[in-house]
Amino acid sequence: MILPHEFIRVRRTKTAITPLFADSEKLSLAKTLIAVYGENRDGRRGELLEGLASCEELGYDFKLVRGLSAVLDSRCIFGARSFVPAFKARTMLFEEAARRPSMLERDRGEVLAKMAERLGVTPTDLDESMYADLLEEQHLIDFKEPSPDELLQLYNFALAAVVLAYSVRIVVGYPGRCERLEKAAAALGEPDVRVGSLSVEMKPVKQIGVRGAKVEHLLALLLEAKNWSLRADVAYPPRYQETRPLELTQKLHGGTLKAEPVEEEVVIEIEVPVRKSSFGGIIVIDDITHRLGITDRELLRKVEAEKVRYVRLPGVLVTPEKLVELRAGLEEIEGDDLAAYKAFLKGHGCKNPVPVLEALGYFVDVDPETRRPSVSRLRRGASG
Amino acid sequence: MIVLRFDRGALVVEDDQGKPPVRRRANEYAGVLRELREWSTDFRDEALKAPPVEPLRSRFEARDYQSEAVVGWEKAGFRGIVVLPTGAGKTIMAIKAMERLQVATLVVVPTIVLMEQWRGVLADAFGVEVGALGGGSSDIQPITVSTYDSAALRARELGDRFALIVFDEVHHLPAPSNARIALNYLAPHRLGLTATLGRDEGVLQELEELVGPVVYEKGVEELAGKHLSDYTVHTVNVPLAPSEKLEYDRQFAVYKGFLQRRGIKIRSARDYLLFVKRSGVDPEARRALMGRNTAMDIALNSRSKEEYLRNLLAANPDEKTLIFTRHNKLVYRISRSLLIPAITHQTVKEEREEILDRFRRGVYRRIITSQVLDEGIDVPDASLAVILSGTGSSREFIQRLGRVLRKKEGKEATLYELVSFGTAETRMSRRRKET
Repeated sequence: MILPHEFIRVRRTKTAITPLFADSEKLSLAKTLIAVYGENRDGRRGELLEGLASCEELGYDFKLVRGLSAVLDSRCIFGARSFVPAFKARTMLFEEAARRPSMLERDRGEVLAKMAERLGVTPTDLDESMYADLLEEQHLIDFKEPSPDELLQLYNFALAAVVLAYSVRIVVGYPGRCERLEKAAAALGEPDVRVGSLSVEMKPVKQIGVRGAKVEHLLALLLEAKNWSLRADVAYPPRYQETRPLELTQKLHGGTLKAEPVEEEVVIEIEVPVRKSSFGGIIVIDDITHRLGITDRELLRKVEAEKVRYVRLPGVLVTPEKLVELRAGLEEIEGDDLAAYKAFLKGHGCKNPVPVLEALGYFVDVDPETRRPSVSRLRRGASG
Repeated sequence: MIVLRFDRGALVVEDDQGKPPVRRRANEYAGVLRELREWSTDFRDEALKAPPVEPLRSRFEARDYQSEAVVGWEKAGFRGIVVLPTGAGKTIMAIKAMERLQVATLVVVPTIVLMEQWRGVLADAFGVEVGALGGGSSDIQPITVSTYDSAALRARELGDRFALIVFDEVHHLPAPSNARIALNYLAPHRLGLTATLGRDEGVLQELEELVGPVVYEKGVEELAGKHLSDYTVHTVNVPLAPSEKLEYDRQFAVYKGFLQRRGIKIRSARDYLLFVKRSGVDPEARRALMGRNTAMDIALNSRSKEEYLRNLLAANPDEKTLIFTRHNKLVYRISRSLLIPAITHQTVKEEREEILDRFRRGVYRRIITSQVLDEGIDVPDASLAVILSGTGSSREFIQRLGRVLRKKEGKEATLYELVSFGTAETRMSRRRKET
């Protein structure tokens, strides 16, 4: 994962920019936060948030506390727990309540009892179901607990990744050649590949998060190499035009950073082969997680539960049948007009075409002068 | 011979004397035209490429003040801002303005919901196809409705297509990203609409440059009775429960103590922003900020207010009531305890529309909402409004009041503003009344 940008902690001097990594002094904070999540297993997210808010009063930089929490959040699965669909519960209760001229305490009890009986649940169950779909009402179903050391390493990685997302140029060093690294760099811009190193000038993006996910991928792959090094020219905060160099090396930072295991293109094989998913044939992961307020992992669980087979591309899930249709259809589009590509993808039920195009190995570029967007095919790195 | 052209959000003035072309802001187009005509200079206008429109005639009858507003706007050279309360028919006034000019028009609105509402009204009024720009749509027609965001993003490309721009909720325009619309479109004719402009001199001056001066203004008081419902506002001071008061005082003391120790005085919004910024790097300032936030949370969302509301609703069981809060937390607390349908930004569109429809049909008599219904959504008529908490701004208050002012025979609207007595909220309410 990459940290949300609002939790970035860096020291910026005239000559360098340095992420403020969490060192061993922060181990006790890490232990406390892990304990808060552990104690709230099965509890409401709202209660967990209250617990985390109290951790902000321990005297640590609140950005550090929230950053560590963000890492832990990404290892959680939250889910709604309702005995009746929340919308149905609400509608029935509101309708019944509206029939009564006043709503005294006892009226509420009567309304709940009457509707609960009709639905065959207890009044308490119905009460709990009423707003079970709200973010704060979701329950912590599963928590993949890291050790305190591991949490700090994961945090440091997430911090490094988000800071690197503000780079204008990245140069990485590693022994020999690595096709996976070259492919990851190609997703960021036009890489200049040599034996033992590659450099990439970042292509402009509208949303830093889009680049962040790609930088994260690159950094995770780099950490797997031996004797790796990285130097980036970072323009952070973005209001400053001048860049500052950021340097990371295996020697100095190898033990400080740890990535979550890189998930390559995973084919989620489920026993029932042909079945329609409620998510549709194309899932833009960021869109759905944002809309539903869930993490990537939670979404993948939901998708798995649908028992539909998807091919995982960077940031996107596509059913194999749809993938064949998309590839064939996109090949046939002539010219570089984004509108034509958009129209084609919209015809396939895709509301946010750009991430899908990028996942399928297409570039979307905007001419800085004319502001005209254009589409081109990546020379390498077409995923899937 | 001078030639005017449009180039990527700019007006280019060329002449045949071999001088280099001059680039000027697109919004200077009207002024340049006027000067050229005044000096009887020979020129060719290749800048504005607004397509012709089908005759724009609607069956709507303008009320007297709406007609006066159109006349005022015309006298100001078809540039300016009209200030009318919510429910006074700003859309009808804009339709009459469009009828008057008969030119390609871009209507700019702050939300997608409003975009759809405007499109519906304009299509119905003129019987023409109305374009949409925003929310995934990019259908450009001689009459088009766009969100602020999309109009700004496409300004360099579409800046020469419209002769009139109507800025709905024009108080949003001075935001830097939105101001690009006014700066990069040629549109010589501009109409701004709002229920309230505020009194910030800087903002007023900027709006005058971007759109024009305020050409017509009518307040709620002037229209109440004849065109809007008569109304009464009750400000009720509700004391905090003793335990709430104790905690409020304790938390607020943390904040005040910090300011005193550091000799910080908060006299303006800017001072407060500096304090918030400091809290990002100074743990003590952060504790002070948290103390203030907790204290305000208690004042804005007090249990006593909930109890007062319960009694108020019991005393007015048949009134169609809108309840406003500042925080979603209170919305859901009350929705749960009093079983009142809630609308917040978390409410999905389908559910929101269903709640509003049921409210319109009288199936529901009450809705509780945070700030999402303040503007931008067509809310059915109601007669009672209860403000449990707000930001303290005059604009928000007027917008909320406007929600119950739609004229209906025999209706008298009432607004209750509940304020936690002896807290910072009392000062906020007092300050609002003074502005």
